[in-house]
Amino acid sequence: MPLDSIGLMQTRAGIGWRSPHHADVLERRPSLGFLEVHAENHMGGGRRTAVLECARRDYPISIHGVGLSLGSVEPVDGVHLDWFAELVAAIDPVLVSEHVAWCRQDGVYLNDLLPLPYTDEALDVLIRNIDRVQGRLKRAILMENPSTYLEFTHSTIPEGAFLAEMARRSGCGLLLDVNNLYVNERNHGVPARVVMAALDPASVAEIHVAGHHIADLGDATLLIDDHGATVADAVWDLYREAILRFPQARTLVEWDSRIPALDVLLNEAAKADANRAAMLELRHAG
Amino acid sequence: MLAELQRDFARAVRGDALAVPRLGIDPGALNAERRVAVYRNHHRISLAGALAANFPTVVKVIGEDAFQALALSFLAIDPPREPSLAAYGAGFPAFVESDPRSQNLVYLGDVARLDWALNVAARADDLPGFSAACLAKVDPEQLGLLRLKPHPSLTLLSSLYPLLRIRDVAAGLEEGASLNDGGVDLMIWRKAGAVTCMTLDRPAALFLRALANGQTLAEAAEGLSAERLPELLAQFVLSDAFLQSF
Repeated sequence: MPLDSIGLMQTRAGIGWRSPHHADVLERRPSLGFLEVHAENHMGGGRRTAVLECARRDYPISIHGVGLSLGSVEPVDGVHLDWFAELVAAIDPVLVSEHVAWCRQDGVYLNDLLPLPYTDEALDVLIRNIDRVQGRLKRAILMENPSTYLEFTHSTIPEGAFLAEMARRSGCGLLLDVNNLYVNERNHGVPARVVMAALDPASVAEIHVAGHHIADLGDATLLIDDHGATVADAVWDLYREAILRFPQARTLVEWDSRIPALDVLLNEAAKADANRAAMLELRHAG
Repeated sequence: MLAELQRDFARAVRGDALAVPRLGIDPGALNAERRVAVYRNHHRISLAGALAANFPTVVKVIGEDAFQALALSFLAIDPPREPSLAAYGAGFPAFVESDPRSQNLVYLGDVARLDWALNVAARADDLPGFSAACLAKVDPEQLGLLRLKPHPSLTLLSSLYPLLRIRDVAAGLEEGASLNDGGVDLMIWRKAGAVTCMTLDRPAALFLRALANGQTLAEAAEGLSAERLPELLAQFVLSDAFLQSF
């Protein structure tokens, strides 16, 4: 599906749909723009795939991969990609996304979204791997900007230019996580607005908002992107700016640790809808 | 260059502090080691948590702290090889059994096997099971020569220990279990979409094990009385425990 037609489908915000809310959502059928699932949580058979089959009757589904390790020098794991492609074929999601990160080395799955240096080599690796996935899926995917806790001295490309160039050369879209932008701004001083300004407005098809944790390390603080709280006010500020720049993007509220009652997530989604509507009105008026 | 960085970063995340200086990390307000520690802690805590989710009865039997210690030792020698964390821990029962910390809990390995069997049953691929309709298509003359393949959801678990009683005690449902209560033969599989665990008597266990090991129906049924075969076929064999194709 071309990115511009994804953009034309204006919908309400979605939520990350995790197992504590599987039954609740299927019973209550709350009004949501879409549900996003982690692909790897629905591998295999049985109830893991059955709930997804059930949900897709009522909701558009977005499949968010966390295990393809597209930033790895090692080639994409063919077995995992085959399985991923089968899931995409079975569910026919509105969006498919992965991360600007890596998580596998020497066959070991490290279960984290590990940082890349922003170099020409890393860009080449990402583009090679994205090509492989897009070729297999026969559709464009979205790539999400990472949150990081360190920077490499040998990075040579600013984050915004790196993301923009990856999208331009691979044809992928971008999933802009504004909480990640904020976390990086606070952790490394990379201004979120500078990163946003570097992106081609047409390339951003989805926006993530999420909560973070402020870790007090005694002599310093570090923002940890744990998706375990309500969205911070400063992140909503960035979200509103992102909507002005990328009005076509769908919005998703993520919550992955200390998962609260479904109503708390629905409330965050409603907040996103209200913010987005206000910004679109402003954009229209202006 | 990126290949070396990823090799060293993976080592650092898995606990090798000597790899950290090679990563070229800009320390900023923190030193490189403390930055890498954020990733290392997440790696350990999230994967120990994944194991705890896959072995809930073991957690209940030994407690969260003892489990965490076992899980971290296991992670160091047998990390996950695939991104589906529900599939992580196939080697954990054998590890638990051999670890000196669980020497006083001789049944712990089998408790872990029960947890793993329930996990396998829940997430096995949805493949069509051998049904009564499949059986009806078999030439009656050839019935005794029938060989079946076990469904990937099926585990036949024989233990010297009263696993279900141990599980109930751990869950607070029973006061106590004695190892003198004797062992148990269990069949765990996904029956009509639902994870099922049933206790088998000894002849049924031997019959099903023989069938699952590839013996013919006639060979597997050798020790059974004539009236039991139809009952066992109906209750266990024709209930998604074996595959349609063989």
